[in-house]
Amino acid sequence: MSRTLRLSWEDPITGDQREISGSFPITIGRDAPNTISLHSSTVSRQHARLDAEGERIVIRDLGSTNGILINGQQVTQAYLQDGELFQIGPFIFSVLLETVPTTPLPAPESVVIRWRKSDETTYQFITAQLPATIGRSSENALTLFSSKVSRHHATIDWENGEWVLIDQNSTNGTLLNGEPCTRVPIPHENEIQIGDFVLHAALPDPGEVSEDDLTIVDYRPSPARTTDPGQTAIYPAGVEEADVSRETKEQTRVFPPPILDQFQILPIAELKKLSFPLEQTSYLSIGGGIGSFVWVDHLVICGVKPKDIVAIGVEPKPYTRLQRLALNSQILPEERLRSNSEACPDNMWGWPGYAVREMWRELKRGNLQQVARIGWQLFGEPDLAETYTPVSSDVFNAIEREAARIGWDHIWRFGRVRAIRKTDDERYVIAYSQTRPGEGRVHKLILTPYLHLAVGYPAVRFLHDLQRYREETHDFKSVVNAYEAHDHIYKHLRLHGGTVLVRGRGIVASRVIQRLYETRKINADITVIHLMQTPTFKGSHFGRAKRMTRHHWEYQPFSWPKAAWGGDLRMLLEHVTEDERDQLLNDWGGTTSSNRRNWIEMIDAGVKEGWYKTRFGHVERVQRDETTGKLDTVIRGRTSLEGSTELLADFIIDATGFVANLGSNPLLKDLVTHYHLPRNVKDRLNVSTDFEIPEMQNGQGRVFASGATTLGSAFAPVDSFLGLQYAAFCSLDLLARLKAPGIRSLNISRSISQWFRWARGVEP
Amino acid sequence: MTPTLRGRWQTRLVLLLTIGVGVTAFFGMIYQDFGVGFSILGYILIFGLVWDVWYNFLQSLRWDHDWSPALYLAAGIWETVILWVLIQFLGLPGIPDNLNAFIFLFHFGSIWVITMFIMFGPLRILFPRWRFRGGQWL
Repeated sequence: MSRTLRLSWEDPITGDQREISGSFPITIGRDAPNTISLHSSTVSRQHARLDAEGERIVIRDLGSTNGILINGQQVTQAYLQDGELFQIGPFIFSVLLETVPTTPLPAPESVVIRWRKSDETTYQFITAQLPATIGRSSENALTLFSSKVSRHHATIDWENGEWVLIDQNSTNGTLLNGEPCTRVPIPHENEIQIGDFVLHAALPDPGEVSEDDLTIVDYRPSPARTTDPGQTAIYPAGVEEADVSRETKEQTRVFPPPILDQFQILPIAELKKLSFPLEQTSYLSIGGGIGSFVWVDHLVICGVKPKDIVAIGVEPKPYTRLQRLALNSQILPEERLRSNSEACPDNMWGWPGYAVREMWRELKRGNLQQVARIGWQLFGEPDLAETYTPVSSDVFNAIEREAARIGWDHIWRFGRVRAIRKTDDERYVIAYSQTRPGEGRVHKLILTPYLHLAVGYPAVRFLHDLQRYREETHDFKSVVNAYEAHDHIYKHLRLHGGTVLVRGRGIVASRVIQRLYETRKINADITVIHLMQTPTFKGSHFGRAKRMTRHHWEYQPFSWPKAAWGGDLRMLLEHVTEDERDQLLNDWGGTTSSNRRNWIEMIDAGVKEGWYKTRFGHVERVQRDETTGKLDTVIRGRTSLEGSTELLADFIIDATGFVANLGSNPLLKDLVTHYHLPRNVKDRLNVSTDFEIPEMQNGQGRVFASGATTLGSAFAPVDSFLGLQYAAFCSLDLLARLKAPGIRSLNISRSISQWFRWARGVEP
Repeated sequence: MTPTLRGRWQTRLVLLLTIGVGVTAFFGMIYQDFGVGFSILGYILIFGLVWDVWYNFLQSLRWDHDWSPALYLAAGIWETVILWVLIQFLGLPGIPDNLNAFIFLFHFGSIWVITMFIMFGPLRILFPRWRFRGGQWL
């Protein structure tokens, strides 16, 4: 018997999970030679070391500045138990100890697959959980987009102590080392052919993990683990999974057309042979949400005619999805968004901002007290007064007005984009479907030289243990995501009281607890258990500045320090190496809530009155308790502070946020795979300071991207209103330099005249 | 606002050479003396370039690296007091010792309050990228 250690941790910014398993010693620090190298100013160069001492595993501090925290206590040396958490800087590690019997060999959990297209030379890697499914559908662990690959083509699995390759009745078959196969053992030296792809499975002997096998893997959650509760499909914002249901029908009817997979640069002549309508435009934005809207708004203000712009998305209003997510997460129309007064998607100048407009409205109503209050906020935020944030309905109404002004209705069209390819006339072809439920299939192609991607967050994050509970029990009522409609919980609590367990400690958790606090005023028999991984006593710090911390919450007005939008921090991020950039993002970002006075007071009151309790630990599973009928959250291993190992609640609300990894968006996944696009330090789309994807240049053709999918490039607050505006300015300035058709430079006179047109509400 | 040091310098220069010059000329016409007013403007500019280094340091102690209108106003009061003390106790070339305190305060105050409203407000209409560049043009 031997014991192996699995350490897993999350990226503090993106929440992507990383994991390491293997032999000792394991060193952790900021320098590259460490087994695990972490980028944060609170991590020392040589920070910690893990060793095995007989059956036990010990962690030692190597003289670090900020130490190792276990349950919020600094330790210099500690024995780690199964399920324990330790914290180094912003990174929280969970320890999983597995006892490995020497015989028989245990089943491996994953396989590393190396693959390429047969006409290419560079390989891509994926670590897939077993059974590793391969096919054209994005439900597979490895998705291969090609008409020669079946929806569920083949599987690699570990059965009865050996690796096997199973062909899943595919149309075109699977070859192992050149031989067709249905179900065969896989030798160490293997070459698997599926359609026009070549794959190699790396097969380590399980149980014998050597130093060489020590790998850090970034495993992405499969789409099955993420949901977008707002929609029936899990792919919002104009994106749809490849349609493969008709692959056996005549090739010309298949959509996206198989020809798209056969070329890096598509000949226009080939496109014209297809039976799908082929249109063209000058500017095209994919997404149709706030990101698209801001980009299009800037284009129109810079002189481009609305008839030359197309925006493709699934919602007719640019703010529909945001509004729905806001409503679900309990930001009602009269509640305020976590955004600044001058971040106005409807006004590129940011003046007058929402605060001035609100003051004007209140002045007309004669509400002088409110006018003075907002004025004082604008003057003194964040020191003398709480930071001003706009009323959500004001923002949505303002976007509605601006959308009408620029003619958004004529620019936007319904569609789900399926693929993007370069063409041989220096443009891009976009394949999209306009199929709506219950209607016939409508597939179209459109050409454009200037393309913008703003597809937003592909999905809402769901904690694995909660997702597993929901999949097993089909109980979608008592375990919910904060972004799903969950009013029934508050209704139930109002009548019957109960205990709610909240996971996550960001802005949405604050708002959910506020809603519970308000419900408590009607029914005082409501208790909130706030479950966190570890306590937080010390806030993040950067240079000489420190972030505020209270009751294990970290607070800052917005999701990044303000200077990350337009101050020294924005400029700093542009002029650093990739490792330094990762470090700065980890230092500035992370999960924080807004330091609104009423939220802080509410938590203070809850702690004092005993209806708000914090608990810490690593969740093993969530189940229904037989005796009490309540939801039982089981904490793995030793628990911290005053906790028991099981937490009982009537409802669980997951407020942990969104997923933005490229793998969960089929369109971007296909694009990144097809054109071998490099990724940035956060594994997202790498964009230049002009928000361009340089590798997608096609002669005069340019592709831009903005929003959540670009996090980790040279600009931090990509998913904010102001960040989207900054991205639009940068890309439009580049287009003006390139003398793109119809674009006029936004100089002083144009800026002033356009502002007056905006103020008068006339078209640009 | 989240100015950088270069942004502070450039914005101070631009606003004082436009708004500052306009306000000073207005005061000069009222009091039939342009020399004193423009000397004061010159000192606000020159001393200010040094003060900006200090403000920039203070700003870096703040988590958000930001500078609110309240801090801008506080900086104005501070600069007024220091300049008045220097005029009264050391004497500055171009400014008489018997300078009328009310006129000095009114002149300095007008420049400061007007630039504050312009800077935190409609300057963005003329220069929409200014706020993203920490107040820099170059």
